Amino acid sequence: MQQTRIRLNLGHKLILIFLVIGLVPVVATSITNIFLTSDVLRERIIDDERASLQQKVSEIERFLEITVNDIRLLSRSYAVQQMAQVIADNDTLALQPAREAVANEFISFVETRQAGEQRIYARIRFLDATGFEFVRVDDVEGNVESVMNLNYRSAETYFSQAQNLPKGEIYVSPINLFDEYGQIQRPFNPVLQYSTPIYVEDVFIGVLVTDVQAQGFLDLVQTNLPSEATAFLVDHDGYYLSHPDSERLFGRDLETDIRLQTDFADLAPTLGSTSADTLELADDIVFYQSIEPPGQSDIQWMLYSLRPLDDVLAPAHQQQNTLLLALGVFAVLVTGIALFFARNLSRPIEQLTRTSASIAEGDLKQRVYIDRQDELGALARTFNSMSDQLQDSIEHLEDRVTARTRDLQIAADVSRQITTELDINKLLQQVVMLTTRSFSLYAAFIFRYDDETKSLIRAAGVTDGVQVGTIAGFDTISINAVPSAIALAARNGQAVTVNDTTQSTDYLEIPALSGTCSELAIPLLVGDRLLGVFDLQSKQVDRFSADDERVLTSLAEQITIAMRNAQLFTETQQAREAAEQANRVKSQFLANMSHELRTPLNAILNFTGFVADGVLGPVNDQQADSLHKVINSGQHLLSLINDILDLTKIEVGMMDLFVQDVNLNQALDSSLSTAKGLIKDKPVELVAEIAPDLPVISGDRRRIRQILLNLVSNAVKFTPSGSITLSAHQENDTIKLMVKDTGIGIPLEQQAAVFETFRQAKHDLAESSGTGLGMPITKAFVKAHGGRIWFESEADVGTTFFVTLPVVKPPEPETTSGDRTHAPATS
Amino acid sequence: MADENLSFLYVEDDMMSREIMRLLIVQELGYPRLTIFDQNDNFMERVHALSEVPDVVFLDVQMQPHDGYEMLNMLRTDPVYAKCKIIAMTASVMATDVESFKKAGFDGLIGKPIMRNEFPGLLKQILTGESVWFVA
Repeated sequence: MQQTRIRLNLGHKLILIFLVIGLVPVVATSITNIFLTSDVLRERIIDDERASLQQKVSEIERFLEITVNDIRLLSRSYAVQQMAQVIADNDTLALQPAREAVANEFISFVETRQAGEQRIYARIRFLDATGFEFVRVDDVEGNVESVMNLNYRSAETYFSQAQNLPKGEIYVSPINLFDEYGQIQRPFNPVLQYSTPIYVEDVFIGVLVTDVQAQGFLDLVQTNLPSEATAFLVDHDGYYLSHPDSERLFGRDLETDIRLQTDFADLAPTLGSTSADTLELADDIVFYQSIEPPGQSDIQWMLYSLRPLDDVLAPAHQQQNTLLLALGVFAVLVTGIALFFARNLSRPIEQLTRTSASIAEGDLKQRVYIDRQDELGALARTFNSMSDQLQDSIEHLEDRVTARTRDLQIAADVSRQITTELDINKLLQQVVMLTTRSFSLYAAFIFRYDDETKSLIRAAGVTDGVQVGTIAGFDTISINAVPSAIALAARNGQAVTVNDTTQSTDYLEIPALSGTCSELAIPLLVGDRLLGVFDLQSKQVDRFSADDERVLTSLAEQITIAMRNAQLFTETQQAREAAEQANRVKSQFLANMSHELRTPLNAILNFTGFVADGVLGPVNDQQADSLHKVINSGQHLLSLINDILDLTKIEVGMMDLFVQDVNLNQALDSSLSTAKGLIKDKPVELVAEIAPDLPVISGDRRRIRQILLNLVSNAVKFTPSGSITLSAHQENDTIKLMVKDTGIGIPLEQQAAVFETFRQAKHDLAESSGTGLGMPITKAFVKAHGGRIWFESEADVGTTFFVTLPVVKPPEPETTSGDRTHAPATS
Repeated sequence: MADENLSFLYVEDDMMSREIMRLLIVQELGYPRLTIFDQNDNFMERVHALSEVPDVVFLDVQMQPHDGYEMLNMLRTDPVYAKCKIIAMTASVMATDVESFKKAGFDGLIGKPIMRNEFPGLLKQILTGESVWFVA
């Protein structure tokens, strides 16, 4: 759709332009031309017609003038004058000769006066004063002779009118058809009479009358008419004197009603006009002019020339038509040219557009075939060349994208394998398989480097899609082997490409791998350390491009990572096992140590106790006293040993809790009594604020007692005077214990080290009594029970230790009470 | 007020321990009827040879040829002695060991070396029918 719209616009635009430029001026000028010329032509035709009419009128007038002149001349002729004189003198003798002379004069006049072939005069007469035809000459069928048939014409208008005219004046009669007898002659013979009086010395003698054949000039009217034209000569009443249709003539005399104005109502107003003019009727154009004969008359004739408008305008129309035809032809021509050129221009453009669209949609092979020498041709050639390049680039690009995608796919596949396959050997095998498949290679191998033997041992391999077993000469390769692309890569720490095995000095021929034509060996490095070599082989020469090397190198890196990870994993495993082993050893040692140390000590305490307490017989006070001293020292030693063992256990993270039901009140009471014993006679007051209903909790009884003992004995140790308050109460699920003393306090700079192991120990061991290892052990025990311990202290004011222990209810009675469990290592 | 009718059996190969136990139970606590085996071969024969069924049997678990578990089994499978309170005496106790002692069917466990100030209390507990699982 888009294309069509575009084509419409451009092509049509061009056509429009062409047409506008080509036609509009021409049409405009032509049309104006037509109208101008047709006007001019019309004018000219009209003028011609006018002229033509004018000419006819002139001729008729001339004729009339001549004939008027004739009668004038005749009236002055010698013969006539002589006769007039004779009549006037009443000279009867000379009358006859004078008459004959006049007759001869008349005859010769008639004979000689001709209009063309015709004689102008039908008759010439001299009427005497009574009106009698004194002399009469008629043209009788060609013979001009005196006529003896004479009549009186006094009643005739030509006589009566002439009678009243002064000398020299001539009367012209209307044209009439009547003969001398008043009959209408047939065929019509229209005549008109001229008469002029003859005077001798102012005495009316008679009238000279000439009968003029009107037909001559009447015929004139109908001559030189263009084919479609009609001409009329009408008298002042509109009766036709000349008409192409003879039936319509002489209405007056024939007493028909046929008149101009009945035939042409529009022309009625023109009758009586004295001007020459033109009148346009519906279909005709009428030229008319009046004719007035000279002399005395009330004659006024009108000459009409009627031409159909079409006829008049025919030339103009013809010219118009011709012009229009020419215009039409021209328009067609121009349109044709316009179409042609528009197509010529828009077609290639349209082609280019279509081809561009095709290429844009992905059909890269499309080209335009426009073989021209102009700019469009150049454009087409350039376009094609550009499309070639585009196709090339895209295909090239697509190739690269395909290759890249494949590479990414392989990388992804290998990554997945690496993350899912834990067995390194299986993984390596999968990788070589994947690689050969994805890159369509003949073979791929992975070698592991053994630093001890300085050789590369094959760990995985595939040839022709099948896992390989042993290959002679290719299972183990010394790192110093030459030639060997694999060894070379291992030595140099850089990938080695053999583009053509037949031409390379680095290639080692292996019979089992005879298909190899090119090879790429990539070392697997962690930093500078060689883990192995990734070797790829192809049956094609020059198989490995720079791009291939790049992607295979990154693959090699992944392999390296995997191998390294596997290595690290085993190392970690081994380390862990070693550590666990070490821990076990330590633990065993501790247990042994613990036992070994305690057993003899216990024996000492037990036996000494037996004796001291009189079990084995009575002892005196002194003996008892001594023995008790021994026991005390022994107990002290035992405590030290226990503390050291505990501390060591804490350090190695092997502290164990012997979980039992612990009656807190009992434990607190016990520590109170111990405190009492420790205070002895120091000026220290012991205060107890112990809630009497503390719950029985699950915990290590001995350790809890130890905690209390440690805190209390520290308080006693560091309080020379004042008070020591031991308080304990339950808050929700926590037991809150507090040992507050008014002792020497802990200096600020030592506060951070209170719970540190070994630091304070060193310090405290220097002091007497107490084990001094107490604090870190106490803290560990508290934490092992899920509690917290902290203190507030101010030098010379005192110290308060806080301990919170979660209330862990002992388990239900059906399970045995007293459970030995390992607590997580705390320190 | 020691009940003079209560009798005890202690199987122990360590002289010190034997001595301590004897002093504790007989002389200090005043229970005269204490039998001590220093060997445990032909264990059940020796047991049968006793003149009475002990109320409490203390077994050192690390003995040869029979360890504590074996002795326990032997006693438990013998209807006469099955109801005795049998207490394991052991030097090294790990967390798992306690469980196994319990599971094996011991009525208690006392860690060695025996503490003179602790033992009387433990014994009292045992005699009242409590199970004690005491470690030094």
